[in-house]
Amino acid sequence: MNQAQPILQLNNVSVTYKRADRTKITAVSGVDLTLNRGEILGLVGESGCGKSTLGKAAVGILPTSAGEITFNGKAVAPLNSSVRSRELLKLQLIFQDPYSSLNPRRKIGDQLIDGLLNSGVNAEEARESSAKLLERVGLSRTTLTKYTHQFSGGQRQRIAIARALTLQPEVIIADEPISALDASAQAQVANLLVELVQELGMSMIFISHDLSVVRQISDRTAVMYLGKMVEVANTLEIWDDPRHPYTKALIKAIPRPDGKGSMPLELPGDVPDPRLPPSGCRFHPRCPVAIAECSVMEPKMAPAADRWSSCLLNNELRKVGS
Amino acid sequence: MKDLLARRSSSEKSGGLRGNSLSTFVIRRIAIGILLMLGITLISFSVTQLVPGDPAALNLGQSAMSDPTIVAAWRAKYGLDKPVPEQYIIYIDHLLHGDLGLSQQSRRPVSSDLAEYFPATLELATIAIFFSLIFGLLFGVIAAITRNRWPDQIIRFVTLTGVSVPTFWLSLVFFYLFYFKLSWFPSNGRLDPGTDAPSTITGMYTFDALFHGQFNLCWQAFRHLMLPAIVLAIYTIAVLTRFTRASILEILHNDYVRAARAKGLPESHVIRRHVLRPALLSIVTVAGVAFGNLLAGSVLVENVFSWPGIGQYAYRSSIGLDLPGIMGVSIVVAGIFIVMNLLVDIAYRFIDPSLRHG
Repeated sequence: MNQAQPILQLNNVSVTYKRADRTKITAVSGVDLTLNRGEILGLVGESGCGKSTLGKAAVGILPTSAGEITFNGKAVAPLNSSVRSRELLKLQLIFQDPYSSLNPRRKIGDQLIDGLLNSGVNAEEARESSAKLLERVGLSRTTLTKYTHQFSGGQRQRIAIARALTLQPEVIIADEPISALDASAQAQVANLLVELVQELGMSMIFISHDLSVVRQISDRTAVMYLGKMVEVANTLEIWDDPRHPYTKALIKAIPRPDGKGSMPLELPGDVPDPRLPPSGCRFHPRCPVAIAECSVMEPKMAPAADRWSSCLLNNELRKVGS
Repeated sequence: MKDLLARRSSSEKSGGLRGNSLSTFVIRRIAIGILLMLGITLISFSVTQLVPGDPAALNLGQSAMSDPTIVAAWRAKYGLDKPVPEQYIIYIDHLLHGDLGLSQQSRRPVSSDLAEYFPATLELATIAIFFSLIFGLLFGVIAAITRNRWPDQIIRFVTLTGVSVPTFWLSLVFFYLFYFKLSWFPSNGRLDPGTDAPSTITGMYTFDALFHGQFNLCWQAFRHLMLPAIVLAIYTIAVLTRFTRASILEILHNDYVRAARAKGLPESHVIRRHVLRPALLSIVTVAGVAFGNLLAGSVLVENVFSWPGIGQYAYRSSIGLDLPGIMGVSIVVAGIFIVMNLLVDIAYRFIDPSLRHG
């Protein structure tokens, strides 16, 4: 990754939900993120921090309220009833729940080949390449003529992966692809995804709340808190030397086999109501090292060497240091 | 409909549907259906007995009523002189031998009455459900894909009106407007006055006429069918439209629809291949129940259009407290619903692959 080539870029993206009582929730607020060619980017954060929302916005499932998303330099259009442009077919997604992401009333083969048929591949070739994909994800080619209810959760997720791969995507956005699976299937599916990404030269945003999986598979890790990006860095660096107090807390909270470091740094309080985010730095009410300015000044994502973290203290410290 | 689904999933768990072939499933359901029918005869028999009023007084004239021997003879003829439980047992005994008894109103066997009245309703209901399915599905799909835009708003307004307007009022308005004022459709009844019915095969005039090659007669019978069929269909179209819209919108939220769009499929393909088939499950249930309702006959519509169907027969039997007639209608209607539910469940097997492959 000497020459980082951006393939998917999110600039200042915000996503706002309107609720039934007409209040608005800004689930994602002014986020910048770049996915480079050939890399796996892990996106982590607590439940409700906006990581899935960001992932959905990145493929166009959710409309953005501000900012722009470009894939290969082309704006990502909303995923609606209008036909997806040819370029955007190289941007595919894998869903969390393999039960609702596969059509229960259609043969698996039909679900795999229809995208190929639509892009002009003849039926026989489409079937053959789908069968090969199924074999690649560890299923037999007879899967083509079966229905989803004949498969377990892990197998379904493999089918969903095969379906996402039919159109030879360049980028895959995987929204918690293993969290709905049981423990044994989780590792297998995660490994499969990594192998496929490497083998086919794809890039992937891997959204998960499971830090240990992200650590294992991703090249870079992005951490979100309450709709904001708090830190983006090389996975190894972020692990050895987390810069943002929230990242530090998250990493220290991972239970380890030797019993060390389980919850040594407790975060006081709960995640605040996203309708009324705290002023200044959104993390300051729970931050163990917050200073007075934190409640007033909003930290900007500051590039520190090749890593980013949005903490006033870091920026101050760095200024002092340099 | 929730009941149906709940029942289906519970019988699935207990192995009722799974692993069994279609024929064992059908045989089992028919056996249950026969027991159900027996229960229904008991209920309608009891209810008819509980209604105040004397069938003899309703069916005999003034002078005959004043002669006790005539009244006694009349009661004896219809078995009404025996205790009620015995009457029921006799009725069931006759029923098991295929005898539905004599109607006190028409003084003919109930079975031949039903054979005459039921085809008229069947013909009407078939045309009505045909209209309903075509327009209900069409409007439902349009409403769902133009959600909250003007076509959806118009369809919502029209279907809400359709389910809210009383049928008898609509019948009268249509009759006045399209027959009396505009003369687009012929008058009451199944055929023009003075026209001979085609010789009976099914009792459905359009079919019989067609079979005998009497195309003019077939067309005439069809034109007579149109107005009552449209009136009947309006309610069913409205119900089906709303159901289709709701179930399509529900399915549009599924991730597999998003995946299909992300693959660049045109929306028509997404709707046809990914949405309509899962949506069909609830549509078939509603359509099945709606067809059952239509086949049970509409007292109001059949009376306004002088349509000699099962609804009118039920009405006449009821006001005459004609026990054999009422029982006959009950059995036919119960049978219709049992058969419709069975057909719906069989249709499920074709729509939902998880019921097919155990």
